[in-house]
Order: sequence, then structure tokens, then C-alpha cells
Amino acid sequence: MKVKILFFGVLSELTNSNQIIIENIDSLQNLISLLENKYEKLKSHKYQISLNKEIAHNTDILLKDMDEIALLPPFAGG
Amino acid sequence: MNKDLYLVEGAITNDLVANYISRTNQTNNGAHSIFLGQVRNDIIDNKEVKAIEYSAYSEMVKSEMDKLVDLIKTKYDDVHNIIVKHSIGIVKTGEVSLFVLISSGHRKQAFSASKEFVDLIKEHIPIWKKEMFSDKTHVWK
Repeated sequence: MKVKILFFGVLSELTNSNQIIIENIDSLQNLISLLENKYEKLKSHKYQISLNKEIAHNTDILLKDMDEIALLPPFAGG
Repeated sequence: MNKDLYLVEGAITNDLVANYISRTNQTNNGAHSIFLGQVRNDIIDNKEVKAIEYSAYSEMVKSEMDKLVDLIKTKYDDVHNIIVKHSIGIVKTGEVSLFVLISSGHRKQAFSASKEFVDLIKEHIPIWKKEMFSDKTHVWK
């Protein structure tokens, strides 16, 4: 199974990517751990997580094939 | 006119604003409140901001903005119509990046709804800005 990860704002700059695909990951918690190991600078940034375009209020969630997860730094519209 | 319901590429033009104002002729409306957000020439570390580059999670902007529009219309029962446009891409200082037009039966709810709606946009809509300086450096906000 595969999930798609999107990075926005300053996080796309520090990961040097807008999106990546991760395979064989079971939960949102494990995905975040994996990403924070892969991109250590993530640990020093504040961000929210969305799962299929809805804000995820906790990371204790099982992932499904084709889920879309986004890392969202603080919003700055207007 | 842009096809996207909420996002406009580049600055929001006078023509776009005028076009929407000219359409506010529903006879049950007694008040229209307009908010324009403009890119300001902030000074950061002695450097002047020349432009902002906005980026967005477009699909989520759509779903979240739909929710905010519904929320405001439910809370303010005198509000009949809400138009909102936000820029993506580069907007120079002095240009407009956010346009909100709220129409209601009476002025009170148009004013209150406008303030609350703009505050909610800042808090809930996934848009980011990169402030750009004339020396080609930038800072994320």
C-alpha cells in the first residue's frame, strides 16, 4: 500500500519537495516518526497534519492505501 | 473571470472587485460590507518587503472555505450572500490579495459577519506566504 505526503510553505523548502510517496506504513503516528527521521528539521517546526484534507487531531489513526497526508505549517492567508 | 471559486492567480484586480459590486442588486439586500486585504511593505531586518508569494493547498482551501461560508450564513441569518477571493502566486506591495463581499438585509450583520469571516480565514484556510525582498532573499510567514 502507498500513501501520498504533501509538504507546504516553509516545510516544502526544508524537505526540498512538494510531495513524496511512502510505501508500507501502517499508522499516522509511524508515518510522522518516519518523516521526522528522514527530515530532521521537521522536529523544530510547528505544523498540523491533515488526512484526506481534514485536520487530524490525533495521530493514532490507521492508514489506508492512497491516503493523502499533508504537513501544514501555521496558516498565513490574508 | 477565474474558474476557481476562491483562488485567483496573482493580485485581485479593481475590475474583479467592481464586477462583483455591480452584481449586488438583489433587492432584499440593504447592506454590503467589503473587505480588501492589501500587501504591506513591512520592514524585516532592515529590508523592505516588495511582494508576497502565496501558496495554497487548493483542494483543502475549497473544502474549508465551504465550511466557513456555511458557518457564517448559519450564524448570521440576515446574511444572504458571501463572495470571497484570495490570491495565489505573486502579489506586489500595494496590491490586493484578499477580497470579501458580504451582503445582508441590514448593516449590523454585514459588519459583524465580515469581521468574523476574515478572522476565520486567517485561522483555518491553508494558505502560506513567502515575503520577498528586493535582494532576492525571502522569509516565510
